[in-house]
Amino acid sequence: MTEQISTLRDAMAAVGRARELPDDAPTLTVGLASSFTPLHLQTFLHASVQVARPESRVVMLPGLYGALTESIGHVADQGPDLCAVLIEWSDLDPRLGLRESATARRAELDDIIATAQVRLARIRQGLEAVASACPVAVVLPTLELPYVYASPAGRVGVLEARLDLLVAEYAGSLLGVNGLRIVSLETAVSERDLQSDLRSGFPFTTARAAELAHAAAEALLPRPTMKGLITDLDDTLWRGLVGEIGPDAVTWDLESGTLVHGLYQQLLAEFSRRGVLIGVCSKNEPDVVARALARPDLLVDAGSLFPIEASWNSKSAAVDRILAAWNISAQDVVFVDDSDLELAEVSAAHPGITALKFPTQEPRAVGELLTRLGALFWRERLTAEDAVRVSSLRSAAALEQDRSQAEDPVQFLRGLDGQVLIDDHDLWDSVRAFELVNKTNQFNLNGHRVAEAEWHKRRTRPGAVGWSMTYGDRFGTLGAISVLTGVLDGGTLTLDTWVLSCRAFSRGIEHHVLAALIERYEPTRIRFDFVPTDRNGVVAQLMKSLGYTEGESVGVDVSQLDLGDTAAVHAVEFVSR
Amino acid sequence: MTVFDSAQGLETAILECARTVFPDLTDVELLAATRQDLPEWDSLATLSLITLVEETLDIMLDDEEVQEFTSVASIQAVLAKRNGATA
Repeated sequence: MTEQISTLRDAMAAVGRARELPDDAPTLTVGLASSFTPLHLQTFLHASVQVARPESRVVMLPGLYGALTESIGHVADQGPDLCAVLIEWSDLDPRLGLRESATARRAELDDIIATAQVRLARIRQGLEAVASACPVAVVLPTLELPYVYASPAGRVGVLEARLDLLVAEYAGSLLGVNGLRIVSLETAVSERDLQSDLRSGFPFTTARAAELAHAAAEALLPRPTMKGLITDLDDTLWRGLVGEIGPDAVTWDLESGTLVHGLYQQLLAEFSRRGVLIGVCSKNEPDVVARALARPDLLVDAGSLFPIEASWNSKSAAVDRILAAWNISAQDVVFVDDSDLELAEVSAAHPGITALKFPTQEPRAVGELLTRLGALFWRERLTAEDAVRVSSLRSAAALEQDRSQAEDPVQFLRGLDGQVLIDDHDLWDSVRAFELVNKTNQFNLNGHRVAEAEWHKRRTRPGAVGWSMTYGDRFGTLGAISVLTGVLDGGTLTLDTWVLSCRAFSRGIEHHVLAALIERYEPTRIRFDFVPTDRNGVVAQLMKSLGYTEGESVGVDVSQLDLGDTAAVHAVEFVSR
Repeated sequence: MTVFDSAQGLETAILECARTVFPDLTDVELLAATRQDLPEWDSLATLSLITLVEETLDIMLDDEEVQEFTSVASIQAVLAKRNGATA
């Protein structure tokens, strides 16, 4: 995501930049529901989304102002691509807003809580409805309670505590709703603009509006999560030079005053659980490293570290090998090292990599690093594939070794005992499928990213086709590895999205998918919305084998198609409706 | 408050704010613009002008001054009064 826009001038300038877009630029509609006129918040949200999606013309779809539930309904009716919903205390009970509380008698706490529960339930219904069609950022109350209910600074009153608990439980329950992203900023009394609230009903200072809009836009358009982390060992994963003092003497505990390394290990362990690839790059003797990593008190499972590159060669070369083993690009990877020199050397060789220093001697700075890493690798939801990522990479490495010794490639594939499972009904709600479409670069038909709203629309197209494929063989399961969407119109099947995870390359899976499409839909012609990109050379090769000529759309006459022996080496099974 | 040595400097600052809110108008049109005559000058435009002027001049306008945000000329007059008091 981009930097926060702080001034209205900058926000309006950002909004104005859309005027320079060509007339046929795609439109991105953003709904904004609140019970008050959102004024600058709308401008800031507009600007934040416009900056994050400069290729699109962002159009704001504000709600009707009054009851929040009606505002949400009004926004939902307009079918936005993205939506932000602002909940404030006054939406839970009007007596919790300044305008109402100023003229009302002080209400009984139980009565306010009961009203809040009913209203939150109604708001939830609206949120669920709009979230079924597009991503929704829900901004929870951030203002301080009206003065009549406020407790002194540093203390918590009963109403405040009960409302906070109610909202916290509410947020927890909303996290289970597909499409909802919860935004929460700290309550800050200085962020209320009393003059504006009384004058126009808009309760936030300009600075707070900017902050809220930025947080909502970040939730709606999250930055792609990093895929891999390559870590140094000495004075990074642990304190001390293992080659000098030995595997038993390096530390990461409180007693030694080196717990910052323990906290780092703990974070890496959590990342690994989330499916982040963790590799090691260290200038050391391999056997010394192996002994240190075998220590039972290590907080990260050494088995989750792959590959481990320990040698005296340059770190940039080691990073090269790790990236090759992972089959991902440097821009998806963070490199952590305590040495400025190593960081510079790796950055120079891999310009896209995010190189971060582990500031061993500065615990506060380590805290900042860990917070930053947490944000870079944060994932809203985990998928089954996250758990098997490292093991499938190891399998791929073992498979490549076997392949290099095989004489007949087709026979080799046949010996894998592979199974392709095709699911044609569970695609559209699958987090993994959506994720795969939006982060696969190499086997990607056209490199197009698909927004959630568009994804939802595709399922309702006449003749819609949507498949996700999983694969497994004797080397292990690779989980969901391929997704395609398209439209069947008469005898022509048009594929507008087709991705295949790089983990599943070289197994002939793409040929099996084509054969299965022909078997299932019996098209006379298959059209591919193929667009060459900098990174989809592997698709270009497949298209060439299917008769693609540069500059022309790829249409294949099925009767002329010869998929060869590699289309029949694995078992293919459909998950039936 | 940012103090301007000349009426010209203040006018330039105000025009810049107005141009941000009404990017389709020329400077001549902006100088003649009034809330009554300009359809796109709605309450949000007024609030945007208030905030932009506050951001640009580093001031907090009071309610009486805000009431005068009905034309670019009257904004200029309100701020000239302030500028004169500060200079």
